[in-house]
Amino acid sequence: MKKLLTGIWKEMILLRRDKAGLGILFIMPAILVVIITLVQDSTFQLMQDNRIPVVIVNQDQKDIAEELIGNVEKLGEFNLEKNDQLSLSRLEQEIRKGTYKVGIYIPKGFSQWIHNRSSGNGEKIIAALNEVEMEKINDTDSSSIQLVFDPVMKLSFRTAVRSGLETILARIETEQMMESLFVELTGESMPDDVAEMLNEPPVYFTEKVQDNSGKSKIPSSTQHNVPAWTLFAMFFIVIALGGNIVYEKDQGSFMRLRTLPVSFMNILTAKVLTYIMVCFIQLGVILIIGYFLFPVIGLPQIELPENNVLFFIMTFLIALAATSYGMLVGTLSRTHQQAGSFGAISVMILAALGGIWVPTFAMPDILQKISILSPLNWGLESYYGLFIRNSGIADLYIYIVLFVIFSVCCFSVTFASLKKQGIL
Amino acid sequence: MEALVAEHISKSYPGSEHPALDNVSLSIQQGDIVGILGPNGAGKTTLISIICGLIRADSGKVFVMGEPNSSPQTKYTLGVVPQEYALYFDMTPQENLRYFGKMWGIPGKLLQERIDMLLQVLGLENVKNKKLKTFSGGMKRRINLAASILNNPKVLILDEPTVGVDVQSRAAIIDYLKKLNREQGTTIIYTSHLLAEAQELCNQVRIIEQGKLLETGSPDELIQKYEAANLEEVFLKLTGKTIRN
Repeated sequence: MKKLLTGIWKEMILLRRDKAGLGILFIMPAILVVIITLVQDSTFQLMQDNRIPVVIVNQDQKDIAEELIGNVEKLGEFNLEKNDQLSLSRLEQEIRKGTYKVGIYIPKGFSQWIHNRSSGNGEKIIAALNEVEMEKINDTDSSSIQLVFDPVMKLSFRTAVRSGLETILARIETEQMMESLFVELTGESMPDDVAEMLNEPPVYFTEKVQDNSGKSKIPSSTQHNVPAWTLFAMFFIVIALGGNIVYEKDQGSFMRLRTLPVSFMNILTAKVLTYIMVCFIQLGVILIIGYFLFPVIGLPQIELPENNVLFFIMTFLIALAATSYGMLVGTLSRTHQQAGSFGAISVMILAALGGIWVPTFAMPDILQKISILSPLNWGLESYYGLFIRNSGIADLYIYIVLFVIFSVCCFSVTFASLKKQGIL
Repeated sequence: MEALVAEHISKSYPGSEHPALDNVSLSIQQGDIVGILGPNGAGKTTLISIICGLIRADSGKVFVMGEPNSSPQTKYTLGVVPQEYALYFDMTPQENLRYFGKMWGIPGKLLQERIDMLLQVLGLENVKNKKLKTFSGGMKRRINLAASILNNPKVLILDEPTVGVDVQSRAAIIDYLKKLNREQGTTIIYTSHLLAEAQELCNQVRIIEQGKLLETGSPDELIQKYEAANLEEVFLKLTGKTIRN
């Protein structure tokens, strides 16, 4: 036991003095988690906090146009700026220059055009009811709204803007048509309460994100990024650990240790335990950032998993898998550079496949199938289970089994390789 | 009493035309300082590695202080100074020695006393808290030696302990080895290409070539036997002047 503790003491000294290694293990993931969460959160906020600059040009200045603008304002999705002085060509110019991302141009005669369409449609319905044939109305779109987008705006966003306006317009048009029908049928104008009823949205939605505990939890960019980048950091110990093993092989300290009255398993166990501790410290650092720093810089605070025991077990298994992989890389590498570059690139690939950067559901089918082979994917799913879905052991046991198998395989190949190299 | 006995040691490496060691037997008396000499590729390091138990011989047996070298007890009686530095350059001499001493199981207070004594004797006391990566080759060699003798081993094996070392450091190492042998009766087995050094240090030499033991005796006996001026001339007469790779 004393020798094991001495081994851990030695590993801690070496780690503490490896400034570049410490940077990779702690500073890089801390910076990454802050930057990525800020970026994702700002995108989220951009959509949520009406920060997309939209200019609205009202050349019509009539009732329907005003009602439309009022409804767009009520929608609260945009940072709306009114500028009625702009012509259509000038608006297009401003969008090209990047002054605005979206332009809504309401031409002269728009309100009249909507009135005509609505009353025309109402008349068509009355005529149909009376089995009278109507002359076809010449429905021109020369007075329709022009939407001008900056080319950088994604199709999904353009579609969302268009759908929003269409919904508002459909409601206004329906209201107008109903009013015209009401007048045609009753000879009186529509009472206010009926008009208000028509103004209400037709269907109400209640949004709920369901987790395994039955409690509603709205996932945030923090809730997604903190587990993801913690995992990435944990697997990045491969570089430090792999380099450490290559160093011991090169410098001959492994050989000296073999001449001392200490089991070589003891030496390796000290390494494994040290790096598992490092993984827990990494987790602690990132959780502290998520819990204390994020709210200060305007990001959502991390909500910790409720099942602490399972959280500890999963973290231990992830750390064990990362450590076993680091041992394997270090053992199979011949030089420090080999261990560093192979370790870094392989972790990047495993992270990309595992869904750390892009969610696996957004990947092509073939990659989705391959992603289940990445231990980072198992880790991510386990952490999402704990951080977002409140999963229990029954939901996560498959990942426990996978991590144990992965670690056993890595350690077995490591021991076989050390034996072949005459070290064990 | 014999400190070390090697009986009929043979070893071949896969893909190699000649065996690294071919039926080598040697016996070393307790308290001797024995130089194992040979040109490059003669089999010196293989022989030492087999004695230390780092590699396994194809055939033959090794006994250290009467115990088979595979016995756990041998690790307490044998000290090995490898050719590589085998140290942690990001740690100080103090930390390196503490680590290896604890791996030997030396209790804390006694270990600190030995570390202090060795650092003083080897002229490293004033740098004991500096990282090894700032040290010269000679200073690293002295730490390398200190790390192997913390346990006061009865038999000390050194693989080219003075290679790439300045004159002062070499003198310090050689003087300390003599002192160790004189005062504690430590049996010293060492390999070197520096034949003048071997002649000065050793009371016995074994000359090996192409995995075979060619000659055994004291430097004086061999110089007399081969009518040579010094050990280097004996060595050249036995191994020839062909350059080895």
